[in-house]
Amino acid sequence: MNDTSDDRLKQLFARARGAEQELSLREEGFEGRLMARLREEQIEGTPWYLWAWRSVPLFSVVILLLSTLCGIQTSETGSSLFQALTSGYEESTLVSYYTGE
Amino acid sequence: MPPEDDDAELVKSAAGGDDRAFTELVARHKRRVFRLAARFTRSEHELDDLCQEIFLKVYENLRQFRGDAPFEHWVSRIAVRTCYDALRKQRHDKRHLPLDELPFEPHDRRIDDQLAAAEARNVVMWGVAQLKAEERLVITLMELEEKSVKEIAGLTGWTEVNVKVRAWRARKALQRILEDADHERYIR
Repeated sequence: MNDTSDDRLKQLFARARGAEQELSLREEGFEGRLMARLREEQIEGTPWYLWAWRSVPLFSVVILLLSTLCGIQTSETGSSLFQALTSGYEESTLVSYYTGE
Repeated sequence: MPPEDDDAELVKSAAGGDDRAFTELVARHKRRVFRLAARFTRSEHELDDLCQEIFLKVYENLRQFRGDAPFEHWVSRIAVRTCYDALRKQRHDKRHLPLDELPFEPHDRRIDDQLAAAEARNVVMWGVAQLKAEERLVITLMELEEKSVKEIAGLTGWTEVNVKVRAWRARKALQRILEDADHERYIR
């Protein structure tokens, strides 16, 4: 059964190989069409979305740098704010003491 | 000068931006590419588009051609891989005509032998179109293009064992498809 099936398939392929497709008409003028498309793609250049994808690593680095910088600044601001608050508190305590409030 | 040497000169010029040299290369190798691509496409428009894709890839990669194998082998490899990519894109588009409605091309009708061959080709194409992309590629290269396992491995980048396994699976799947479709009346 299997052998018969294999033989039939072989026979079918052998016959199919005998059918040469006539492609010369389809090939006509192909070089012209291809070169036109090539020029068109060269003029268009790289589409903007490809540039967007390509700049992802650059943007990541920039964002990383900015967030690090912001982090440093925040920690600096945090300590100075604490100082400002505590010095303000000390000042107001002193004023209250002197004024007797 | 042997054609390979000639090709190498043209490749060098084309890679340097000489469009005439590239056009000459296309003219030399388009027949082979068209013949292969026609095995996987369903219309003239698709065929032209696929062949253009293949030669665009050839153009983009010209500088990578090292010349350790003939240029035509290099082009064939690009062609096979581009056809495979196209087949993978087609996999969701599983619209198939019933076997009875397959079109026959007028130029195949000239004599009985040719008619039988065209009929067989259409039956094969109809059945093969329902296989998975890798099965379709391997069976076409092996049975219609008559490439050896080693050649197919070289063209696709698959191992020889992989090629054999995929070819076996493809044959079995095709047998099932054709048996289900009662193809026997088409094989006289």
